[in-house]
Amino acid sequence: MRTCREITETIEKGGVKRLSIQDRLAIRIHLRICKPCTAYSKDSKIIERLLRRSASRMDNYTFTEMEKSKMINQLTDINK
Amino acid sequence: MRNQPNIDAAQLVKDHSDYLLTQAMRKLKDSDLAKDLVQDTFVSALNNLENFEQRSSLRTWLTSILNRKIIDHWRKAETRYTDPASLFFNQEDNNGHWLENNTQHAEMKTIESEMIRQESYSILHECLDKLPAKWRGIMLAKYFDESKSTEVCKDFDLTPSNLWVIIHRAKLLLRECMQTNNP
Repeated sequence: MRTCREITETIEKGGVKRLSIQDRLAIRIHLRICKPCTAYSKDSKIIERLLRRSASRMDNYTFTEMEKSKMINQLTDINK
Repeated sequence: MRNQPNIDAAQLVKDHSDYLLTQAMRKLKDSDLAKDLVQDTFVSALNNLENFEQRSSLRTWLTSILNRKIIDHWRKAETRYTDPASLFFNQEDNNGHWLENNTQHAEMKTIESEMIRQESYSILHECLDKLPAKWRGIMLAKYFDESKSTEVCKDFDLTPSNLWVIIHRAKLLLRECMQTNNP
């Protein structure tokens, strides 16, 4: 019998590679009797959806003009 | 001698520094470190211009140099490999009911609808920022950029099983954080 931790890890394994029949069966049987793991399995999907939805709102970072010119000066010395 | 691409430092910085910094900040939370690594990237690029294959774009080439520098940084920082799981779970959790105490928290479904309704993902982003930098970077690469798992493993120097174990821990932490910070 696999533990809850193993089952929820296997759920994430399924997001990385194709699961074996044994893995898929183990998850299906376990989820039928385990509320916390069923909740995890749903929440895992929700977190993925939220991450995808929020992707375009990620910040861009910039160097200040001063940092850029300082960097250019240092690089020009190397480039000679 | 091969035809050397005509690339000067000023143009390189002007065209690519902000892009590279944004990429670096996806993987590192420390902006001084990110800026240093971008500068190092330009140094390596200018010293190795003969390695630039003009089949790929300059930006792609610079990004691959930057990614290698970030991996080197991680390798130095992680001289002692700790199983990410051990940071969060006690021995007795192995067969225990560590997921159970989650049930009294706010439902993720409710949190999701609230976020979508308000069009505000700041709680999620704050929680992402609380993850270890490398984990945060992995989650962004996998779910923001929709990178293939093989690519993520390559960029972050991971085996596939490292990857899913980290995704699992990161999601548990994100859930915990979002549920406790939900207004």
